[in-house]
Amino acid sequence: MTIFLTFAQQQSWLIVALPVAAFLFIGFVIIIAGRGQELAKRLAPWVLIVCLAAALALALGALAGGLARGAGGEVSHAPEWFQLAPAAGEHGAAAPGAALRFVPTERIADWLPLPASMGESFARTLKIGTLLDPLSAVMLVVVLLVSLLVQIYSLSYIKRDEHPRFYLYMALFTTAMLGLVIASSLLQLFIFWELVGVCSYLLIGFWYPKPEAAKAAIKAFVVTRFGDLGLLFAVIFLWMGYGDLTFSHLAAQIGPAMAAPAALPVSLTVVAILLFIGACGKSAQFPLHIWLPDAMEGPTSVSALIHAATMVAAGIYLVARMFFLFEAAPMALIVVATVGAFTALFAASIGLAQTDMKKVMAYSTVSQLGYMMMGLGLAAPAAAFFHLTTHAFFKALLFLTAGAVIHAAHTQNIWEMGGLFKKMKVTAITCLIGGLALAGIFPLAGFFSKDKLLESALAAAMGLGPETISAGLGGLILLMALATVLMTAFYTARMWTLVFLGEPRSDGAKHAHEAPRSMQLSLLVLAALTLVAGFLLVPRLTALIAPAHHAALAPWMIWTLTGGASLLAVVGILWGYAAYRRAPATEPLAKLGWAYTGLVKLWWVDAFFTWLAHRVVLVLGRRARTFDKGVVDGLFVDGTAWLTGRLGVVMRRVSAGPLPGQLQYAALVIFLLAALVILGMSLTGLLPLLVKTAQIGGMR
Amino acid sequence: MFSITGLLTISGILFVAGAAALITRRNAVAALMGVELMLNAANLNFVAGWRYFWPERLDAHVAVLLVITVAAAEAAVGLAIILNLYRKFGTVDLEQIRLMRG
Repeated sequence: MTIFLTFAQQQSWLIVALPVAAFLFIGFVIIIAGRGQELAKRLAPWVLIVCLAAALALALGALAGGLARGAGGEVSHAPEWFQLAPAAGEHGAAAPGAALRFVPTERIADWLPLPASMGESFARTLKIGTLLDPLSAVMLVVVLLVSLLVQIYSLSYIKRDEHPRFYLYMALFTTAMLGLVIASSLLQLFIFWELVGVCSYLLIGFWYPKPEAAKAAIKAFVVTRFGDLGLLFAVIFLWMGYGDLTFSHLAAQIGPAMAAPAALPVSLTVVAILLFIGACGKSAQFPLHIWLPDAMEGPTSVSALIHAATMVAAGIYLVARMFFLFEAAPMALIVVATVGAFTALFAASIGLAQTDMKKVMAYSTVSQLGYMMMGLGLAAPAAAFFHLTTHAFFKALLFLTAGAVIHAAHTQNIWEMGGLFKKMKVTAITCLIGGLALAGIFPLAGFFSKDKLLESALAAAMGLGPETISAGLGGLILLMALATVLMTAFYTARMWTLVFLGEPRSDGAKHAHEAPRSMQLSLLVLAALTLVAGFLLVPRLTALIAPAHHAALAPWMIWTLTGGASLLAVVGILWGYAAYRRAPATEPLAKLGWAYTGLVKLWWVDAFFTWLAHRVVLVLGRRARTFDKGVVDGLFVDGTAWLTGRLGVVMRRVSAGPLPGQLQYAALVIFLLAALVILGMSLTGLLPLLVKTAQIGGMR
Repeated sequence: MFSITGLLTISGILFVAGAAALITRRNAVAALMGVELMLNAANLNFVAGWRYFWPERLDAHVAVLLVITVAAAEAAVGLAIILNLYRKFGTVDLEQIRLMRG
């Protein structure tokens, strides 16, 4: 057993290599060699599922191995940088009240030596490797667990004819996501970051004959590109400043007390904000959130895995990973916390009025990601990561139940469903568990993690958060977070009531049937995880990534906050249930007037970007085209050709004419050249020299 | 004795006169004579340079002899070409001799 744990720790690259193997096998053997064969189609999913199961075993081994070494009284070699927070105790991993310790394993190899020809300061070596610390070890397990369950679910959700291609993309995605998580350097992370983006594009456009799907894929790709540009600049600046992008090196070099090196072209705050822009793109934070709801055009299992549980959490992961940078540049935390809290409220409000079951969940995902970002901004990375983990479970569960419902009712519009509880009991109950967890009801997972985030907001409101965030701003953030709790509970209840209660409101809903066994299996496992993840092991594991910051809160405050938030959630749920119990013919929210219009119009953000593209970008583009056609092409390119042609016509007369004319022309040119040489010499001061030389010669 | 300036001036006048003849005269024989004048202007330059700058060296003499030889050969070939031109076009007027269209 110990041998296995050590092996899993030391050879953690295998966790990434296994899905690569599945990808290559499905790609080369099944799709190319076994083209169209029934056996090949049956085999494709199982190749990936077996590889993922093996990788999950390794990941669990790696996690347990780190914990075992931390607990075994062994001399801990936790490097200094591992203490993420300045206020850490004697050991960064020893969070208050948790006896768990995790010893990180970092394995780094030289990858690419850069030649000295690029300048002495660039003669450095790019490194590649794996890093296992509490953050990556837990994240690996979460990614693999959800991925494995989604693959099992997809066995019956995706048509068999589409299996090879689907599982090919999924294998590539899982590879990329695991590579991103286990990366030991920022550059390595960036490479896999782009790779998950590509997979997201491929999978959103999985049903590409549908124009909406193709458009949504392009939209997702383009919008996230804006964020990626920020991340790329952050990577370049850090490379220029520190010359080594491994996290351990960066963390050792960037400390709150350390001055930024002279080679860093911008301040650390700017680097942190650029990095955050990258995270905004991937994690769908305002205003780059617009791609995520459209991404729901992909298959639901893709939405569950990529656009709810894993890839969209990569932005949170990135900020948590680089949190030492944000601590060294606390001004950036203001941006992170404000954008996060605003996104949470903003997206939750849009979620209130959505009629598409998947879109409700999509906006809910944006909102929950905003929560996590807020937690990071309030210097509570452990709470944010805790919420990331629980959210991965319950949101994947919600999406998978939505898939089952859509599969059964043949519609995505919640107004065309209804009465499905009787027909799909397993789905309805698991969906209820997921929904209650999302709303934050005791004792489900979401309750605990959301509570931790709210605690950090309360601490900030009392001026106990990061020093750059004033009590006023903290209070505002707390208010936004609490309002989000109410809205979350309301739209969750609205969705569940409309889908599962009342009478069927369409033919599809009338003839709905329970999901197949393999789908139910995934739902049940995820529901079980959602039930226990809030208090069993997960909080202690996630607390390892950083010690809690605000022990200063009195217990009665925390209890009041917890009670208040729970009360808000219950009120929201009852309100939502009461309003939609009878499935009213008109949307009760319509009474809100202009605000309802705003909700339906997505607060005009999408419209704004469309306006921006049409009225600004395209207009500027046309101007640029006119300039290009007129000046660059017309004046320079065509103009040069025209001038040469005209000169040729004139010259032809001379050179084809009789000899004296040609000779006269030659004499003229020689005269002009001589004049030019003499002029040039006199201008550069060489003429007196020439004259002097001639005089010296003359005197001899 | 002549000064170098005087010699170079004479050489310059000879050269310009030769060049002017070459580019202005319509008679091919006259143009050829212009070329001879220019060659002799160069010869005079060589000799003047030898006399005033490097009297101990013989380079200039070699060059002058070479130029005289080439000039003789050039005159022979040139006159032969002019003779052929006259047979083909019936004139030695350079303005009227043209084969290229343009």
